[in-house]
Amino acid sequence: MTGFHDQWPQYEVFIKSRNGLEHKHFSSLHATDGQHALLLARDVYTRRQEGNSLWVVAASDVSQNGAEPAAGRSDTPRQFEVFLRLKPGLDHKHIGSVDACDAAAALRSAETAFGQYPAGSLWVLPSASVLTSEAEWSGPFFDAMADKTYRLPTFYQLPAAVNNM
Amino acid sequence: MAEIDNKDLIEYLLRLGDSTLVLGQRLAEWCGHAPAIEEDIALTNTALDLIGQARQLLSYAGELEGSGRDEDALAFLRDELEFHNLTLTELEGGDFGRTVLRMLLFAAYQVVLWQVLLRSTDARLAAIAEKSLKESRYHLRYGADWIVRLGDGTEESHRRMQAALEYMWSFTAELFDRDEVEARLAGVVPSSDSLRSAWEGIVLPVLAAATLQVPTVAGYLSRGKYGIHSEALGPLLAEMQFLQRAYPGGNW
Repeated sequence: MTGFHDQWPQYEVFIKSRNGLEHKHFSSLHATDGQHALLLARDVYTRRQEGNSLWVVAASDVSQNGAEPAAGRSDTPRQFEVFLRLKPGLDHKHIGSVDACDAAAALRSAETAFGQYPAGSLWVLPSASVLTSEAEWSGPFFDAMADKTYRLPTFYQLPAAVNNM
Repeated sequence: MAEIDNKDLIEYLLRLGDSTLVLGQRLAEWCGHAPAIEEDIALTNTALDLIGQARQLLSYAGELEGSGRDEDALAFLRDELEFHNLTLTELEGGDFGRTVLRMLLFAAYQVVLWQVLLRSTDARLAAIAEKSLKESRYHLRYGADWIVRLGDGTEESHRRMQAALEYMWSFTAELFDRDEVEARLAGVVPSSDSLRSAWEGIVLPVLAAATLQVPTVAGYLSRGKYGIHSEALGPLLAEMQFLQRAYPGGNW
């Protein structure tokens, strides 16, 4: 298995936990491509009803303020999604979008539009590179997780003898 | 409509319930063995879906039977010849290619079947179909995604997917074999042979996109759903049932 994951690129997973809230960075995973990442994100990160909408994006498409921005420049502005983490320990949360020709410009625009936070971390990523769980697949993706208490560790009563497990 | 015989409905529920239970057990065998942690979770997640379907179907069968056997008694205390799962579901998993191919073949069958059972005159069966359809649609998408990736992938992955198809394909005839039990349940359940064209409409385009050749086999009919099994089921049940057999009534 050595080097197995070297062959699968990393994807970042964003979950909207319920309607009215924004997509938040949840975790990452390895997958062969974006479609695959979307399916795996559903199985790995929403199987206990953590949310009702998924975004995945290749980690290589994510640019962070203070770090080398992702490559790629367009002649006309394109849309970038903006995520802000107010301080370490919190998650990157979707706060809006900006138009820019490249990631560095998108980061500058995001700081202008949403303010600068001394302890904050900004992520921008091209909107076109985001794969989303489609609305018409909401049932198979998320409803199927409901009513399955046997998935939860609390479903199982341990005998007293092993109660310290 | 003529009164249906509960014995027929029980038999039919066992065919569906045992198929999902046995395939769930097969998929659970991947726990800790899949090629990546993400796939490990995806396969066992699907196993849990199938076991959840089995619980509903077997519970219903037990209630109709009315002799006090619940889902656990039916799952863990019946012998091989009393199981009515499709032979396809009990075959040894083999490599990952076989595993995902079977997921596609069976999920496509379930999707087609649940869509008809949504309109069953049996309200409870219709409700199980409604809940399960969402799960099976996802299994189908997951399986199809892998089959195209592997079939239309490298020389090695194509070779393995084609080999998996050659192995599994002849067991699909059983999915569409109809018998008197179904005929007597007309209106409650569809006739299996009526499901074939819709199933092919799902499966064949996926196999084509995966650049796989559908084998030309004819004549062989496996008979797992009538209780006549391959040599693969016994060892599977031995593992699945061991604890309840060794420690009857054990609970945790």
